[in-house]
Amino acid sequence: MDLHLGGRCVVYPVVMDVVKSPGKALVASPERRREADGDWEVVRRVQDGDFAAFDGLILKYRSRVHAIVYNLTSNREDASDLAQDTFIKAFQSIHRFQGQSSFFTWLYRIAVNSTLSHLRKNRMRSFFSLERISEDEPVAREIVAALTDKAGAEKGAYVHELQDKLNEAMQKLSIKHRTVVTLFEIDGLSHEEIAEITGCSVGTVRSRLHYAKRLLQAELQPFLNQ
Amino acid sequence: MIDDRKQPLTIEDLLRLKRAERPSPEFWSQFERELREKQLAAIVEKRPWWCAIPGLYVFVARHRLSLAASASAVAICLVGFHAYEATASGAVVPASGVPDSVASVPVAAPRLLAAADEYAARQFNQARPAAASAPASGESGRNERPVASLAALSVQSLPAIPLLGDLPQNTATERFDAISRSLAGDLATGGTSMAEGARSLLVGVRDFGSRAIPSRASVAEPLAQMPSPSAERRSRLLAEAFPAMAGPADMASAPSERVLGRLSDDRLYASGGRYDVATERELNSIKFSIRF
Repeated sequence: MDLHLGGRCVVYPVVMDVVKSPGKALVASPERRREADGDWEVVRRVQDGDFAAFDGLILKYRSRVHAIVYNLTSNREDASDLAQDTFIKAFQSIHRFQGQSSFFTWLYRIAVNSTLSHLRKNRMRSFFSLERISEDEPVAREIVAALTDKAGAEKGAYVHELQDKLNEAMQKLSIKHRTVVTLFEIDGLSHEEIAEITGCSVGTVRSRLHYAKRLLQAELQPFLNQ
Repeated sequence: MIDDRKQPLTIEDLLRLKRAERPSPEFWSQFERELREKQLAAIVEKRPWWCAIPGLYVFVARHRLSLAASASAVAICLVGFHAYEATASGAVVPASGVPDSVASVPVAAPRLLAAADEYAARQFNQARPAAASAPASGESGRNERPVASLAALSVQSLPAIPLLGDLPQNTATERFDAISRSLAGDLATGGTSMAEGARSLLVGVRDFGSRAIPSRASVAEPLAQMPSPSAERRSRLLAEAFPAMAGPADMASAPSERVLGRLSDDRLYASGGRYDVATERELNSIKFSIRF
């Protein structure tokens, strides 16, 4: 877990019940607040012994947890294992969850810290195992169409090459920068939410995000200039 | 979005493409199954090691007798092995200053050897003044020669020295003197080797065999102690034929000699007439059967 100590960000492994979330409470939109209230009710039931209620939380957040882990690791098998471990850790520690932050933030913090620990342990082992880009997403379909029209290349091979280059550029980022980019650009979290999850200040999040984008732009320049 | 602005793609657009990397629906079924297994494994907590202590106590309480017997057997084996090693380590002690032919002869345990040395030295010190005063006797015969060789050898290498202590005082003195002279002669002539001397010593020492080897008590054969069936039958017949002379003690042991010793011809004829055995030939056959 990242702790902001004297202006320096120190990274610790996952000990969710020990490290308290720093700073003020999460500034959430009304939708997030309603969502957090509903999650808190389910968490209370689980804490009272209704373990089956935890299945609802798994169904609700499994795709988002898997997405953040997958985008951090670029490996589908590792993402599956780490997402499962995230839910297991949350299940084992849910009786210590006090509701000081939203369950979503708490669960994301577990996922991020588990993934960062895994990436540090396997720093030397890095290979891609990518999911297929779904054409059902309208935004993705538009982007792919624009790229292939400009390049005049065959669609499937071009998308495959773009996906490889994109994940390669992401893996070239440091873990901290990759986390911020993933949470902000892919998962759509706000700066405040990222700051609470990573344990850094909002300014640090913005700085890291800016620096990471510059690096990615340099890496993916051939695709951007088409 | 792309069509609206007609602008070159940005890095945000490319990163948005990664949102479309999603697993297939089949993946989620497998994901849920594996997560269920892990969740169940997490619910079943691993028992700590100290939970096995009561079970161990019950096992010990149930099998304490056999455990105690096993522990005793192991302890006895260890002690026995330790004693065997202590004995075996001192089994062969090379004698310093002794020829190889003699030193190669296995000697007794060091403790026994030390006791023998001390005893022999004491006997030698007692015998030396007497030997110096006594005149040289002419008993240095062939029978005394091995004893002389024994005394002249190194004290350490002669476990048979205590045998001299069994002799009377004056005899020991004389023999020590004879030993010295005989060995000196042997060494001078070189005619007899040390090994031969030691060998003849063991043979020539009086009653060596009976001393070195403890005499066994004569063991009677169990079958020889049992009365033979024929003897029992004979005693029974005689008891019936001669009730006056056959008591229970006589019937029990060696009836033939006792009966024959006491049986006179007159009484035999009288008893035979009482049982209608009239002829002399029949009486002789009775007497013959008693004898054999």
